[in-house]
Amino acid sequence: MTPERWEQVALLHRAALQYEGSLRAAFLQDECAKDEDLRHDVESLLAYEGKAANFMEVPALEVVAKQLAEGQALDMALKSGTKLGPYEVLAPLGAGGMGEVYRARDSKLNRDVALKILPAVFTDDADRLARFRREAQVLASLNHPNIGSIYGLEEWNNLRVFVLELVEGLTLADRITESAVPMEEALAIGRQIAEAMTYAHEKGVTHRDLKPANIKITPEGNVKVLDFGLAKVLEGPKNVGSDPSQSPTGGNPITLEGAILGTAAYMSPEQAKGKPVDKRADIWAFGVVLYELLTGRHLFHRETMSDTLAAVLKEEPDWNGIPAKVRPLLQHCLEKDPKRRLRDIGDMGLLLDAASVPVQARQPWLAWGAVAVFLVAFAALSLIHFREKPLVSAPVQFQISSSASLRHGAPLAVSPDGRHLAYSATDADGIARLWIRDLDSLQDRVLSNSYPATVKPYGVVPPFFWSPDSRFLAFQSTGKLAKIEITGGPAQTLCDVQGTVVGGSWNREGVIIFADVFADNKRGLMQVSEAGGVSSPLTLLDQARKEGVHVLPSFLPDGRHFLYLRTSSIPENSGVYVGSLNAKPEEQDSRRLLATTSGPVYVPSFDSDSGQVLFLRHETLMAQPLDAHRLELSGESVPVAEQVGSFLDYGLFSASDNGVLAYTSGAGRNYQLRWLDRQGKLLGSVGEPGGYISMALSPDGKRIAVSRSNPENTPNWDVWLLDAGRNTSTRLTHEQIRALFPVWSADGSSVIFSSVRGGEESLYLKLASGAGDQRLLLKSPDGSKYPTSWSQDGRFLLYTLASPDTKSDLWVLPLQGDHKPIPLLRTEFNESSGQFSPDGHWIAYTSDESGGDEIYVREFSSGAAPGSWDAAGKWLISRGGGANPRWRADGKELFYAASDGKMMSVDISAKPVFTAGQPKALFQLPAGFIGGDVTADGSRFLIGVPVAQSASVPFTVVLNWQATLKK
Amino acid sequence: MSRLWETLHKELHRLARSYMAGESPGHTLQPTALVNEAYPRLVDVKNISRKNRAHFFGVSAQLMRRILVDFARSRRSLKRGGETFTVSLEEGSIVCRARGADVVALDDALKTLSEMDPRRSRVVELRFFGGLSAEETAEVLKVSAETVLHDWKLAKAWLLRELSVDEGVGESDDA
Repeated sequence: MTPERWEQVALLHRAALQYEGSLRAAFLQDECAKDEDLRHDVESLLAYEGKAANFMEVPALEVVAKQLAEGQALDMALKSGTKLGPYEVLAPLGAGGMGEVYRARDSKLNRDVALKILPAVFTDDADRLARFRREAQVLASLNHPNIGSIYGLEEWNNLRVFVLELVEGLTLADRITESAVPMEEALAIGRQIAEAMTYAHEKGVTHRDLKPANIKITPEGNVKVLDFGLAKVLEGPKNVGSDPSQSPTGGNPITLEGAILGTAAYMSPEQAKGKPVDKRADIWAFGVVLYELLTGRHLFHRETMSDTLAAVLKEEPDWNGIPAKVRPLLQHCLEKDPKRRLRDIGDMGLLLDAASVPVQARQPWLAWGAVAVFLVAFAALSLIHFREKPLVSAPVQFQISSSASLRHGAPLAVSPDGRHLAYSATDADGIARLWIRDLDSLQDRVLSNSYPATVKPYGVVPPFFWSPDSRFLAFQSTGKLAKIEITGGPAQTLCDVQGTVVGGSWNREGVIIFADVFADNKRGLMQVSEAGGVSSPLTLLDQARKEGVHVLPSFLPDGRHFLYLRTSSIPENSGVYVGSLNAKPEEQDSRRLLATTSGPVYVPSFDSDSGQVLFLRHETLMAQPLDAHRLELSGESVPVAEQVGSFLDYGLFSASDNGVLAYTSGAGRNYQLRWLDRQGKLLGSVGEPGGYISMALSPDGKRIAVSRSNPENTPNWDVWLLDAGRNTSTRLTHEQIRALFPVWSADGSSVIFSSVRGGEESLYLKLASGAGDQRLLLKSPDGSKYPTSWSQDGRFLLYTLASPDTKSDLWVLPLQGDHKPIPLLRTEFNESSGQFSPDGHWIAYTSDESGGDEIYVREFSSGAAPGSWDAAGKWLISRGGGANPRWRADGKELFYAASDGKMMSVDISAKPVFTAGQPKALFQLPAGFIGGDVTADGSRFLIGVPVAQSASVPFTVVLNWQATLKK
Repeated sequence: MSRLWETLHKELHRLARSYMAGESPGHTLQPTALVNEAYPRLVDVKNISRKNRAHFFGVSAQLMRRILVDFARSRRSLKRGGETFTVSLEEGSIVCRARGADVVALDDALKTLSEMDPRRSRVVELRFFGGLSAEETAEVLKVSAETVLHDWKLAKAWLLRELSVDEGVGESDDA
């Protein structure tokens, strides 16, 4: 550390001392906003502050004198031949942790033992000594082949001596310094250490100083963990020392609980911070030891203590050289946050027992069977097995939140190695981007090159997916399938796509399969090489089966077969199917495997062919065993998680290959429709909370047409009508898949909406009374259509068409005469949200031609020639972003939502010439709001407000989720 | 130097004897007194100028440090048959709590500290090895006593952190 840097630390340390508790934490957080190292260093020093109270308060002269005294006492006591009770000292064995060690002969039992002489300082305090004796008894009760036994605590004269099992052989520290230990041997050693830990932990004893120097391998090949629990016993709750005459019990001696014990390089982060530790600290140390065995490299050793501690707290292990199968376990042992760390080393032990492999006491690492089982245990993190023995351990569950804004339906994907969670979120600039959460850190990273600033129909990006090595994400970016390395860098195009990429999967041979939906009425799944190129069809929609889409494929372990979802307007045809890379597109298996309306995820098993298919049943995430070899389901489906959200046919969950599951109920999935006045004051609520997505107020302001996910069947979306006065609701449509974007006729008698019946979003009309069937208005193969406005005179419907060529465009459908659609604005930019002015002469809409969405107004003339609109005049209404324009009924005011979330008002005067005033902010819209409509008089706004502000805990992550399968 | 060494050695053994006998050692000589005893004519502590007094304090502390550390080091190598070994964490940490750090390890850590922060390292030398009060230390360093107390606090925390944890894996527990 440079003197300048140190001075910075010193200044902060001094300043921080003026604050206590959370104020201090906040102070440091502020001061070290960008400098985690600095904060760690200051915090660590502050943690030592209290412990150092009595440190060095006795002058050096006395310290040295006391050491001299001790040394002389020992010299006198333990010369060779010295007799201590039944023990005769033979030779010194050396000194190490907590005292000097001698080889001695137990004349009673006729065996050699080790005597560990404790420093005399222990004996100063009667209370402490009593506690010490009690704890020594507990340690002496440990009896396990892999634990060096403690025979007892003896006291002679003024000496306290532990009598220990004498273990011959080398320590692991000796082994590691020689070279890396071969994997099989390392795993066998690890297994025995784990057994020792399991046993001790069950007895409530933690080691606290597990390190290679404390682990011996006997000449017979047994692993012995030494000094189990001694660190704890020797750690005093009281400060013995500086004043031997202090009050015996009644006083308040300075406690030193949590003082750092352990060897820095093997110390868990919480230990290094001086926080209380539990058995998870042992699990950490176990991870470090195993890592070092496997690599022959020291993991956290650095030149200085500070550097070592900093490494423990901050540095990520280099996983090169760690076999892939062991990596997940090591990663879970080496979680810096103890809450996320593997909780119970016993999980592994139980697995080993369940597999009924006898403990190979003699030559453990030559027993391949044991090694294999150990590998399984490691790779599976203590879980996937369907044997008789139930697992006691609960899965580890935690929630993580994002600093960015999450839209409902935003996809998420856990990397195959379980290390990262990718999700899409919207920054303050309103642009969706890919974000990466490393599950072992609190930091989110944004992949700034992921998406261009384009607006998607729902503001939600389609699902993305990982490469098998967890390095890349594949995702759709404006007409392309692209991949991006999660460490950063530019996105690379893989291939062109026609429609929307609704999910994909990437196998180890470099084959990427993906859904390209709504491109045409034939295309199902496509395939392309990970090197990029031209994609080719993998599956085709079967018109005879009335199939809508083939989406969300998930490779099976053989890398040839895959699961995917087919939807159809015939319910019996919707569900999970098995496809094959070897089959021709028209010859894919059309036998349904599983009935569901959302995409499947396959999670392999490590101990059998039978992995699990994860799928949604309503809002419950289900798992059902699938034999990936025979391609058959077996057993029953079992619930894994509740309240798992979905967006259209995409279930908001994802799972890694190694037991990490992430899901979300869908951030802000439930909205409450609320009335706000022009000041943003809450006037009241309408209806019950629900999964609303788009809403329209009837011209008389009494009813609301809204698209809503079905309360009893989430993947389906229907149009509902809410009676604002009576607070009742009725379902207008009965869709298999979805009905979206309702708009009212001027007289309130009819509603037009889009529905995907028959393959793509098409326009339908239904009477608001609910009478009669819905009538198809417009279906054509040129793209998905979303209605936005119905002219007052009832003659024209304005809609957005999502075109593969020109992005979203404005079109008009005449509802009289020839019904021939007229393109109004078909540019290379995105135009959407067209709204007729009440007199029908103007259209307000959004366009991103300037780079971001802004509101524009153009004149509408029904007689104008098609295409002439592009050249006509337009007025820019908004400044600095705008969405969702709405007219007041007299046409004299236009409202829109600004990109900073403010509801804006603009005065409009159409005569004699069109003029628009300066936008004025009315009020701040609630965070995460959706939709928005306004009453005819412009006095009240209808807004969807997220009910649970779930933005703070959007994702639930479960480690070990398969443990829930057996209870 | 050798006279001081003898004086100090005598005092050390006097103290050690009383510890071993389980007695309170009673009166402990201040390092400055020891220096004075060794060199009675070197300075007249009671009658020196302020400037010289500060200088004397500083020199005493330095001498004490050197002698005590050398002494502790020689004791160690004597016991180990010349082998060097590092006091392990637990021992160090327990000793720290009881009465202060192992002085050899402390001396090493102090050297590291002095490289980046000579002043705080001097504060430790003066107070711990020299036995000076905060005010006396302030006098030597020509800073306020308040600064000395802050320096002392920070240096103690840093040193304890440095000493509490054992860097090495070299030594083994031959139990």
